[in-house]
Parts: sequence; C-alpha cells; structure tokens
Amino acid sequence: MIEIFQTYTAEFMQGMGMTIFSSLLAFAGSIILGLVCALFEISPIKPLKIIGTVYVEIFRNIPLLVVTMFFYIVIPKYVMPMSGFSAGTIGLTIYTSAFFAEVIKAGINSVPTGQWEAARSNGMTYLQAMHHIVFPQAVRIIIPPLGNQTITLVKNSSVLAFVAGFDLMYQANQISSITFQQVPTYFIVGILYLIITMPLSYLMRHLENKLEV
Amino acid sequence: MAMIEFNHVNKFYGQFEALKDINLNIERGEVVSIIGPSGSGKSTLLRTINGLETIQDGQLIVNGFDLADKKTNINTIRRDVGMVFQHFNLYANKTIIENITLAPHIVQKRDNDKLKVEAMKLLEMVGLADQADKYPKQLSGGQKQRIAIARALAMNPKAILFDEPTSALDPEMIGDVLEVMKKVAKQDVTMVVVTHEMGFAREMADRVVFMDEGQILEVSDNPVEFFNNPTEPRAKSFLSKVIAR
Repeated sequence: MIEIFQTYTAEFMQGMGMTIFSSLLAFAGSIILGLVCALFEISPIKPLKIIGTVYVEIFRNIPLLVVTMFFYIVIPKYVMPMSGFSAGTIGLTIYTSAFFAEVIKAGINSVPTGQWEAARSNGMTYLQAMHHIVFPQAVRIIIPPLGNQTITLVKNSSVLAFVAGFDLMYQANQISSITFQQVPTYFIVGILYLIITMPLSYLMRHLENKLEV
Repeated sequence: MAMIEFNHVNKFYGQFEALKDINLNIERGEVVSIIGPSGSGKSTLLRTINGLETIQDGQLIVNGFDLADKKTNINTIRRDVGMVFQHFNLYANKTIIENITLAPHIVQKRDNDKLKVEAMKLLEMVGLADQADKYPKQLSGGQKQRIAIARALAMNPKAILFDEPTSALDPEMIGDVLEVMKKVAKQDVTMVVVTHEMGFAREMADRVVFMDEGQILEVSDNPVEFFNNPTEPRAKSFLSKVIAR
C-alpha cells in the first residue's frame, strides 16, 4: 500500500487538490444559490416563491450523476464546450444548492413568528426584519445541518470521476486500472477523503459550540 | 380626528367571522381597555390596527391612514403605533439596549449615540437600567415585558397596542408591569389594552370595551360604573365569573 502511494504520490495529491478545489467552488456557489432560492421560497412575492420551489424540487429529486451528465454531454453538444471539471463542479453546485436551500429555509422558518411580528410592528420592512432579526437567529439553527450537507458535498464531488474531472476518485480509478491493486488504492483514497472531511467535522463542531450564546 | 376609527369592520378566517361589524372610535391620548372571554376577538381586533391582521370589509383609519387603501404604506403607520405582546417577543439576538435602539435607528434614522442616552432614560423609567447589556433570555418575564414597553416607547409612538401584556406572567411580576403601564397612561400616548387585568381597566382606562363572539357588546366611558353595574347580560355573566375568581 505504501508502495502504491509512493509511486503515485503526485497523482494522488493532484486528485486531492482537484477534489478540494471543486468542493470549495461548489460550496461557495451553493451558499449563494441556496440562499437566494431559500429567500425566494419563503418570499411573500408569488412568482419568486414559485421559481424557488420549482428549482429546489427539480434538482434535489434528480440524481447528482444525471445533473452532472447534463452539463457534460448536453451543454457541450448544443451550447458551448465545457471541461469535465467544469461540468462536474457546476452539476455538484446546482444539486447541492437545492439541499442548502432547504436547510436555510427550514432555519429561517424555525425562528418564532413573534420575532417577525415584533420587528414588523416596530416599523421595520420585511428585508430589515429579515436582515437584523430573523436571519441572524436562523444562522445558529442552520449551521449544524449545513455542515452535514457540506461534508456530503465533498464526498459527492467524486462524481467528477465519471466526467474526467481529474479528482481524487478519478485518479484512483486510473491508478487501480494500471496497477490492478484495487484494494490498497481505494484504501488510500478513503484515507485521503477522511483527511479532507474530518477537519470539516471538527470545524463544524467548533462553530456550533461558538454560536451557542 | 380620532386616532383609530373602525367603521363597519368585518374580518373572516375562511367562513368564520372573527370580527362582526365593528364600530369604534379611539381618540388621541385615550386609554381604552378591551375585555371579554377568550376567543371573543379582542386580540384580533387589536392586531388589525397595525396590520398584523387584515380586514375583509369596512373601513379602518389609523392616524389618518386608511388601512384598506393599497396606497397606504403599512410601515408608515407602524412607525407611530407600537405594540406590546403577550409573549414579549424581544429580539433574542440583540442586547436589551439594542432591542430599544434598533428600530429608531434603522427605521427613523436617528443618531445611535443620542438613542443610547434616551434608551437609558427609558430603562430607568421601567426600573431596569442595570440590565442594559444583558440578552433577553437572561431576564424574567416581567422584566422582559417592561423592556418591551420601553422598546415601544423609544419610537415616540402616538399609540401603543397592548396584547394581554400580563397574561404570560407570574402573579408577582404583574404588579411591576402594571406600574409601568400606569406611567405610560399618564403620558399623552393613546393606549389600547387587551387585558384580563380588571384592576387596570377599572382604574386606568378612560373607556372599557366589552367584546364577545367577535362583536362589541358594550362600550362604557365610566369603567367604575361598568364594573359595578354592566348593562349587557353577557358582560354581567362574564364579570361575575372573572371577579369571583
């Protein structure tokens, strides 16, 4: 096993780098898209509500691989060329943002109605009440499930292997098909994924403790 | 012109008629208590005044603005009409002093430093100046309610709506809150108070409104007389039950 790792260190590290890079991009994109969708979903404005709800319902109910394949095959064929890495990361972002949206929406909805009513009765607009009172309280509720979704995101980034995204899983497939040493290869890959996700788990736990006032 | 004017107001929840043909004028500076059994529509009536509940029918004019008019910006009315809730609803993520200064700062765009000075004065008035930097969850119910009153006063409102302000409090806390409400009643702010505190209604109110089943059954401009001698039979039976308690 050590031999495999030593021989293919560069490939493993490159794969790990790609996995982290793709996860970071998808995380940032999912936070923004998820937040927008959540705000749309709970918006008092009907058309926005419909857009948000339809988006979430579509993308969380289609397998990640199908969403990703759409960007890998359909977009390059009819719209514009796209690398496997881009297709994979966009697919991952869109898929994950639907789950982020649900988590954020649930967090906002769990803030007691009384907080809304007090803020609105105090003369605040909907957006002021959201910005100053409701959302800051929702964040505390949102963080733990969002942490779980983020760890899932990192693991789901292995979908890049299917679209030649040069991530960790892709490299593992390559190495094992050259060496026929499947067991040690995938064992190493498992450990490398753990190295990425374990600190995330700790970070989330730390944040949870910190946010408890 | 009256501060609050109900003309033939009706409110429905689906088929259920929560408010039936409400007619009531509340003058500026007046203290009006609304009493009646649970589910009689008292809170609903109160919540229509600042638009927390919508009306389906009739006319409701608050501080010169018609609430049914689409051109009326509800936030304009709410700036001048404060509200105190049964369950306080202090902003959980803000300190006590921030609870008081936030809306005057972001809604009325007033200077934060001056607001802090004013907020401290309000905190002294409600007897809680030493709690300024705490968070709501560190306070007792009675303290929270006094802060909620200070928060409403910080907007310099023309009227304050009180929605059963003492109903969620331990008996020994009620007195402190009523004390503060009495201080407010002596100012020229209009007060509409939904309450089960008959003592407050009798002592402080200029008028008492008795409601049952979504209707106003009796309006008395002599609360002492009303409590001793209600004319409406349902008010009579209600009062006998509450006072016997």
